[in-house]
Amino acid sequence: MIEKGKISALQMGKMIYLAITPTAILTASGISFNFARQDLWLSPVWAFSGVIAVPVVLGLNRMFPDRSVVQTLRDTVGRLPGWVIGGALWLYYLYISGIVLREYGEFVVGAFLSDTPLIVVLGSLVLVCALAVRGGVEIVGRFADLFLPAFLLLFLLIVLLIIPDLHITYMMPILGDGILPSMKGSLVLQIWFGELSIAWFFLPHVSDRENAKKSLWITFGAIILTLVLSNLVTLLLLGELTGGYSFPFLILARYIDLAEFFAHLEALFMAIWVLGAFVKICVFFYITVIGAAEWMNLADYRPIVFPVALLLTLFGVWVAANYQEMTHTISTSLIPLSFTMFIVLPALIYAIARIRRPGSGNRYSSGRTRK
Amino acid sequence: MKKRMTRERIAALVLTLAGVALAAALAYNPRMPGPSRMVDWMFRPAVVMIEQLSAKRSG
Repeated sequence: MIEKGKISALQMGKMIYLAITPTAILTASGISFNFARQDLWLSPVWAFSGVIAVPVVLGLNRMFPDRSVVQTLRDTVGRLPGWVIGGALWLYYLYISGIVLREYGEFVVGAFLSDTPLIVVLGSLVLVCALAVRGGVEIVGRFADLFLPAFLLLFLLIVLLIIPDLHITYMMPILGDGILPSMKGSLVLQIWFGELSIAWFFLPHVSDRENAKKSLWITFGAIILTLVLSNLVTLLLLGELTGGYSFPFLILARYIDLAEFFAHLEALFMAIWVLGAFVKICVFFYITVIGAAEWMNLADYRPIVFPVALLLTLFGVWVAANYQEMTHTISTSLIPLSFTMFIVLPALIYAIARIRRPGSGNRYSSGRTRK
Repeated sequence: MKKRMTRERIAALVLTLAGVALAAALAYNPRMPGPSRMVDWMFRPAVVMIEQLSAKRSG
């Protein structure tokens, strides 16, 4: 493996939490609403992708505890097919990182820095992320350690302050059209829950591997809870208007006006978003860089960090012509693509590995830690 | 060791050149179709199905 750094299972959980929730809070509720309507708050409960992703990546790590993703692919399907799949996986991570980056850029330019060119907003964040990624997995892990408490505190502050303005009737009738609308609303959320499979890249670097399973399942539960809460407060404030906004949660922060003293709290949301997006982009950028380095069989990933940063910034611009086109892609074609790359591919690799090496699935299930 | 470093330098150079080429192409034609168009095309049947689901619901 190229990366020699070690992180704790808790740090991995924090990284994954921050790699999923920021964009899910920002954009998913507006998209889900078109399917789920008043049952929007229930949609995150149907997190099928996560239920598949977590056991699959844990299983893969049990079978190949100290092998990286690209090495696992080569070991399982052979050298050439492994190289082809590894390349596809790298391109996919570059593309999805571009989408994440563009979401950040559109939000910052659309809501705050309206006169700043998109490329400047994207480029400046990618530059900071590149410096963090060059530091390795430990540095990204420590950023997650540092920013998660602030992220949670600010998120809960916004939720608490909006409570007096919520209308409980907006969620009625609960399950009025049965369970199906909320399940349809969860369709787009499967992209975010599928992202749990990025743990595949981090598990070989976890020092206390016996806690990894617990950490991943707790992270999964925390993500569901956060999304239920954010969807619920968004729905109870905006009602039928939820689907009409690009960033419904931002409207929530803008709406807060407590005793004419606590007002214009969108700056708080900006803080949440920049902290969260920084870790999210760092995590995806790191995976893209490490994936590329392993795919090209390099001894060190640091020389390609800045070239990949350039590519990533350009992908952020190129990924879609405008925000509407990107939202359309996220709510339609990105769902099957993400399902294929985040869920079907690791599950297939796991199935092939189990067939080829029967009985090896439980080698490290007793919590043995490989140093 | 030296051979390894050469490999990394070549990789960095190739990626930089790819970035410069993409930047030039985007500067020349900012409306150049992006990767999302290709993804839309690849999953066309699924896209149509999901669009129908959304349209039925939003009425």
